[in-house]
Amino acid sequence: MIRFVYQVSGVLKFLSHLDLLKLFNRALLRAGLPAAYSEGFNPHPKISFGPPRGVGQEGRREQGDLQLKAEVAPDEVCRRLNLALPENVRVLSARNVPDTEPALMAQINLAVYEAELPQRLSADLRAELAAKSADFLAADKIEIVRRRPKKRDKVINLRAGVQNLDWQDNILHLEIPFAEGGSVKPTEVLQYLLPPGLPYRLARVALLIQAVDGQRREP
Amino acid sequence: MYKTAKSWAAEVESQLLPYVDKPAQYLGGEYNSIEKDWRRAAATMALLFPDLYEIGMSHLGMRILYEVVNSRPEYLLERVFAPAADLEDLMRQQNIPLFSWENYHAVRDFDVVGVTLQYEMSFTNILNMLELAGLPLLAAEREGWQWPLVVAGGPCAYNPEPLADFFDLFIIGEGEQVELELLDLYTSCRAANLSKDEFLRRAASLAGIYVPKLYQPVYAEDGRLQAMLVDEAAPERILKRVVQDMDGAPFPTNQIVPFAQIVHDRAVIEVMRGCNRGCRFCQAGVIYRPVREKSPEVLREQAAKALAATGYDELGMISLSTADYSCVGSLIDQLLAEHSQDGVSVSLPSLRVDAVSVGLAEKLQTVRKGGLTLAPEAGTQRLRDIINKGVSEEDIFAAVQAALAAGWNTIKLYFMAGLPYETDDDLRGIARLARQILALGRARGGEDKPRRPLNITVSVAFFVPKAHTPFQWFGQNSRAELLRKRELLLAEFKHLRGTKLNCHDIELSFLEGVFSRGDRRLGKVLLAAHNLGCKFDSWHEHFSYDRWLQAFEQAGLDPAWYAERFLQPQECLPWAHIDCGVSQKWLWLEWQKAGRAEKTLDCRQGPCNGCGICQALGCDNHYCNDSGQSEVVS
Repeated sequence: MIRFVYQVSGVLKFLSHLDLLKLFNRALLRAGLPAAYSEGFNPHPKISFGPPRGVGQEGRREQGDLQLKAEVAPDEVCRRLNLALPENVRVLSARNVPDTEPALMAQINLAVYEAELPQRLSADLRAELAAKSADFLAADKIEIVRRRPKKRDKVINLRAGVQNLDWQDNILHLEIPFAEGGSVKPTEVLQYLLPPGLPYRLARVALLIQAVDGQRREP
Repeated sequence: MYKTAKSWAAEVESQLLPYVDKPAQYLGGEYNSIEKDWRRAAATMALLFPDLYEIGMSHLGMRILYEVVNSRPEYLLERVFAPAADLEDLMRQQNIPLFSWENYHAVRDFDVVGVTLQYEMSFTNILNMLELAGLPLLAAEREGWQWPLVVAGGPCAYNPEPLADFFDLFIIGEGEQVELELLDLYTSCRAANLSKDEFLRRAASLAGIYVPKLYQPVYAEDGRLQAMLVDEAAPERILKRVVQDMDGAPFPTNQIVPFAQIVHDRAVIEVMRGCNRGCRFCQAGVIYRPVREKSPEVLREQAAKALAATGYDELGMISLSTADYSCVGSLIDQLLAEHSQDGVSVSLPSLRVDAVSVGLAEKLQTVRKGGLTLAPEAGTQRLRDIINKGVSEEDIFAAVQAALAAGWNTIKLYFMAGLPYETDDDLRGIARLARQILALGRARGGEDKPRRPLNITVSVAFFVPKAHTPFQWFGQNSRAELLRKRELLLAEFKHLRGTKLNCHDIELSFLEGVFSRGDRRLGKVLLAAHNLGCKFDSWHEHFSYDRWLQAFEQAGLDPAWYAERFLQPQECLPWAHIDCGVSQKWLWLEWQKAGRAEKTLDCRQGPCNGCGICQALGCDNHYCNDSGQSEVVS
C-alpha cells in the first residue's frame, strides 16, 4: 500500500470530500496507474483519505492511502499523479506501508488548523482576542447551538472539543481532536472568538496520531 | 487589436464562493478546460447555458462549440451558467456582474454573447442572466458596438419568435460551421469599422442566420399572424445548417472533467445525428434529419481518446436513438473489449421498446442493475399508430420479458397524456398495460425467481405540440381537460399495487405549449414575467404559475389562445420562415394520416416517404454497415 501526503490550495479548497475523491479516481486513470479495484457490484479504485475537511478550508498535509495491483515505486506514483492532477492539488510525498497498516480514518485522532487573520490588527482587537482566548481555555464549558439543515438544532460544548489554541501574531493555531460523537468545527470556534465580519484564511495544516501520553506523529 | 478585461476572480473567491451552497460548481479551471490569452484574441465569445452548471455541462452541444471555437487560435470561447438563487442574491448585493467560468470575466466584456436554447421554460433564465450581466434586455436597446452582439441557437431557435425581441440574431441548425463563419464576419466587419446594423445586414445573407429585426410580423384583426414582411437584405426563409460529414466533423475528445458532480458525469461519443423513426409528436426527429451515422473506427478512436484524456470510468454513446445505430451491437462489443479491463462501463441514454434493445442493455449492465426505462408513449395500439410510435404490444411484452429474464426488478415506463385523438380508453390502456406487465412479473419463475416483486414506475407527461412536427396544428388539451385526465389516471392506478404513477405539472406543460407555438408578441410576456421574478421555471421550487398569469395579464395576451387553439391549414405559422428542411406539406400529410391512424415507416426500413429533407439539403441519410464501411442511401 502507498501512503501519500498531499495538499489542496487555492480555489480547490471549495471541493467537497466526495469531489476530491472523484478527482483522485480520475487522475489515477489518466495517470495510467494500475489501481486495485474493490470487489462487488460497483467496483471503485482502492483509495481512501483521512477524515473529511470542511468545504472552503485549504489542506496543507492531507493524508491518503492507495492500493495498486502492480508495484510502482512511490516516487513514480507521486510524479505521475502530479502530472494528472490539477495544479492546486499536489502530492508532496509517498511511501510504501504494509497492507496491514490500519486505515487512516482509524488512526488519525487530531487535526491542527491555522486561521490567518489580516496582518494589521489594531492593538485593541489583539488584546480582546487574547483575553477571549484565555477565557476560552480557562472555561469548563462553552455551549453553542449548531443549526443543522432538516434536523433539530444541537447544543454542543465547544470548549470540550478544543484541545488547545494559541496565537502567534495574526495566526491562530487550533487543535481539535476527533471524538466519538463528532468533533467541533474550526469555523465554530472562530465564530465564537472573532468579531463578526473579520475575514480569515483557514487551513488544516496537519492530521496526527496522538498517543495517550501526548506523543504525536504523522500516520 | 489589443484587448484587456478585468478578471473578477478575487471578488468571486473572497466575497461569493465562501458563502454559497456547493461552491465547486462555480470553479472553472477544470481538467481540460481551456484558458486563452484575451489580449491576443481577435474575437471573444461567451457561451451562456441558461441553467445550472450540472445541467449545462451535461450538454454535448455546448462542449462541441467550445472545441470548435477554441480550436481556432484567433478566437476564444468561455462558458457561463446560471448562478443558483443563493449566489445570485450575493452577486446582486455586492454588484458583481455575471461572469465566465474560465477566468471570471464579466459577460458584458465579451464581443459576442451566445445563448443556447434548449427548452422553453428556460427563457426567463436567459433574461435574468442578461440582466445579471448588466446588458439591456431588448436588442433594440443595445444599438452600436458598446454592447456585445447577443446571439442564440439550439432547438428552440426553430421557433425563435417569442425571443426575437431579445436577440440580434439566431443560428438555425447545427452550429459547427456557421459559428465560425459568423465570428469571421464579425472580425472583418469590426476591422473595417462597419456599424452593427451593417454587420447584421451582412450576417443575414450567411446561410442559417436569422436576423429578426429584418422580419416584421403583421397581425390580422382576429389576432392571427397574417404575414411576415421581409427586408430585401434578408432571405424569405432561413434554411437550417447541417454537418454533412460527421466523421470529419470536429468532436471534443479532451472533454472537460467537472470538479462538481453533474447530471451526466461521463465521457461521451456521439454515434450519430438524426432519427427517421418519424414519431409525430417529436420535434428532434424532424429538426435533426437526416440520419448521419459515424463510422465505428472513428467512434472507437474517439472513445479511446476521450477515456484517456478524462479518466472517466463510464462512456456514454449519445444520439437520439442509439439502439438504431447500424453497428450498435458490434461497436458495444468492441468498446467493452477495449476498455472494460480498466473498469470502464458503457451506457446508452435511452432504449427502444423491443427485446433487442433490452439485450443491448443487458450486455452493458454487467455491474449495476438499476431501473430499466421504456417509453411506449401511449396506452393503446390505436393511439400508438396515431402518433406513429412504431411499437406493438408484442414489442412491449417482449422487452419486459427480456428485462425480467435479465434480472431487472424495476421498470420505468414513459407515457404521454393529452395526445391528439386520445380517448379515455387510451388512458385506461396505460393502466391495462401496467397490469399486464405486473402479471408478467408474477409469472416469472424458474431458478432465477427473485426475492422482490416487480416494481413499475409510470411517468406521464402532458403532451405539448411543437413547431415543425405533424402535430404543430393541434390545440393542446385545456388545463381543465388535463386535470380530468390526471384524475382518471390517478383513480386507475390507485389500487394497482406495485406501481407508482408520476404526472408532470399541468401548468408548466401549458406554458410550454404557449411558447413552443408562440409568436413575437410573447416577448412582452417574457419581459413581464422576468420583472415579476420568474426564473428557473422548470425547477419545481421556483415555478410560480400565478406570476405567469399576471405577466400575461400585464401584456394583454391570453395564454389559452396560444396553447389551446387548433391552427388552420392555410394559417401563416409564426415559424414559417424557419426552414428545417422537412416540407410543411409532408408534415400536413402526416397530420392527416394521424387522423386515420395510418403508420409511416422509417425510410431506413421502407421506401422514401417524401419528407423532403434530402432534396432540401442536397445530402442523404448516411448509414454504416457491420464491415465498418459507411454507405449513403438515397
